[in-house]
Amino acid sequence: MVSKKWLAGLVVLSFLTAVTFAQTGRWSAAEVKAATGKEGCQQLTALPKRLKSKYKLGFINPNKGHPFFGVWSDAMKDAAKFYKVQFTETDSAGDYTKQADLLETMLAAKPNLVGNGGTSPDIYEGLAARLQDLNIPFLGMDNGPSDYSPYVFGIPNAYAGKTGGELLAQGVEARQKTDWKGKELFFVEFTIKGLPACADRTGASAKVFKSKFKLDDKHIITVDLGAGVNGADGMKAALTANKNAVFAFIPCWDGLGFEAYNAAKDAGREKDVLMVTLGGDKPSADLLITKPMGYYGYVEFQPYCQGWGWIETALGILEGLPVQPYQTKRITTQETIAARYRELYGEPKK
Amino acid sequence: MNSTAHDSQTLTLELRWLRRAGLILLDNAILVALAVAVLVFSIASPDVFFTPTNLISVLRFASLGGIVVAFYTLAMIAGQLDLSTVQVGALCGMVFAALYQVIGLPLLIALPLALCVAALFGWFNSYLINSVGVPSLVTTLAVGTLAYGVSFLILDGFGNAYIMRLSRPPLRSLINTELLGVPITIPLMFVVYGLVYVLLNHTRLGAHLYAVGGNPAAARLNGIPVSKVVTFALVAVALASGAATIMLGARQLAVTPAMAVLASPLVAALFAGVSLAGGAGKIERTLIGVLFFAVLGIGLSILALPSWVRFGIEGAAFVLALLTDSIRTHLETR
Repeated sequence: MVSKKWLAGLVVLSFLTAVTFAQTGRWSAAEVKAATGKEGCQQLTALPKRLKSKYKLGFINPNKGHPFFGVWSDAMKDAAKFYKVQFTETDSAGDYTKQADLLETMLAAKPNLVGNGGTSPDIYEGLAARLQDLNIPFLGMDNGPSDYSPYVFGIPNAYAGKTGGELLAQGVEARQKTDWKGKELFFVEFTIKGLPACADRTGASAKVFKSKFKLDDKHIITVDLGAGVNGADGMKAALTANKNAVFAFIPCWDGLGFEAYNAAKDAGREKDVLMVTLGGDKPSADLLITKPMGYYGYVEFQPYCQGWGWIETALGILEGLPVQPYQTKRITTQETIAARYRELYGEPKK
Repeated sequence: MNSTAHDSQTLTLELRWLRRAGLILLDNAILVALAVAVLVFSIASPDVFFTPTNLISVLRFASLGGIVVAFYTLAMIAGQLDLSTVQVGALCGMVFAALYQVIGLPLLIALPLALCVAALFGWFNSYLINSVGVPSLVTTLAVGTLAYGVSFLILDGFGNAYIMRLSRPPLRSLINTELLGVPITIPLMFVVYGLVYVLLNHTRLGAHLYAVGGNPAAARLNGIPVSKVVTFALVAVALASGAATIMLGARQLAVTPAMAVLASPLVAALFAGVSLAGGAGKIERTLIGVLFFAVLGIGLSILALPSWVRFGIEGAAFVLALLTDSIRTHLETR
């Protein structure tokens, strides 16, 4: 009789221990990978299952209508639900001057940490300074360093640019064995010099390319899209000035490359260009799966994992935990797009 | 027979009454739209929208763009369409950043100098319109492009790319000054609208602005100095745009050549019923239009609705405003 009581007690004790452990342990990388489904995101910090506080996180989305930023939003909501924290989001819908006022409205909800998307210092520095005054951490998305916040999160720009440069070099080498054999080669970077993120990305690509193909400065063309020139005009100018040459190019983000690519196509020079883009969201996948001859592939920024990672990083900061930087290691080419497309978006439309 | 005549008279009276009621409603459609927008967002987001903090955010968001639109209304009443506002404002911001932040001139010297540049471009617009006879639409488009180019020249000159920081104290503190808990730009906007109201309704210059916009030839024949009136309107809008851009830059701690306090002052003014042809428009309606756009902008951002809903609502509101204005004009002229 006594032994049965002890046994029952032991079972209850074991159950309570298991429950307590489940609540006080940390989320594992496998659990995060499973929670992020087909994206299979890498965990950036092992957060405790019971956080120190019921945190409120705020984020000012630059434009939810943009496919990339829209995915951030979905991922952030999913991650906030997963980690059981409050998440408030507003959408500046492309009007960045509104963000300072949206921040004031958001502050009424007393968030523990706020972030925004908007890579130019004229968008984020005012917000960071305001939050610094209030001792609220600011964690921008893809903003690069701020004078008013010690935290940086987002695409590792130089790494992404280098990876893109290497991928493009691989594509160019293949073409040089066939139809580009013996042709004069130019590298074109479509960038915005004033945005640190862009300067780092395409600058790293140019560096890789320059050393790989021993190009002199004359063969590296920088089109500064912040200087009132658009991608199409920049591409047309390069094509017109060098009628028999071929061009390998990388834009700071996908959209900037498409207009340049279309300009080459319109000029009947599609065969003379090879593009790798940085970002790889759905419009890029939709284009790559059609296998245009001059679109070699892209470096995926995986916006879903980025959005998820922002929440993890924000919570890591609030919990005082070490956080790994976000990584972009996945590349997709014409050879791998079919499988990747099915994985992310289902069967492509014929 | 008598009864039929009586019935007909009653019907005419009823129709007149209906027309008058319709006119009153249409005349205040923009006010009704503003009230409806506030109501809808207050219901849709009860904990956030109708709170003092958010209402201050809405007014603050409206303030800088609103100041520009007030002067833009003056220019439109005078029959001038200024498409250089954004670029001239941004150029003024760039000049100010160069003088104040980079060179280190005192605020009281850098600010008037930068505003002088804006005024110069406003004057150049009016010179081309008055002396060369180029329509304002074309002139301001060209001058705006020129201003945009000069902004990049300044960037290059100071070795910067795309952006110039504007973080030197005490600029940020000044722009964030509050009066009884209200950011300074909000009372400033209302003061500007008050002054413009007085100017338009109680001064000779105001009457001249309407006359020049309505019929410049007739105004000239009546001895109104048309060129001076046009110059005043275009310099005023350039100065307002420059000042507003500097204030925005002070808050955002940086300026760029593409910086705009309001994406399209033209849309806001048209929305408020200011005539494209000139000679008509009320500043109080412009204020309501500016507030409506701010409520819509912040309200939709709080709700974080899908883009197609957002643009659909904004576009529909604009089309509706144009339609009601057109119907009102039609009824008034009958």
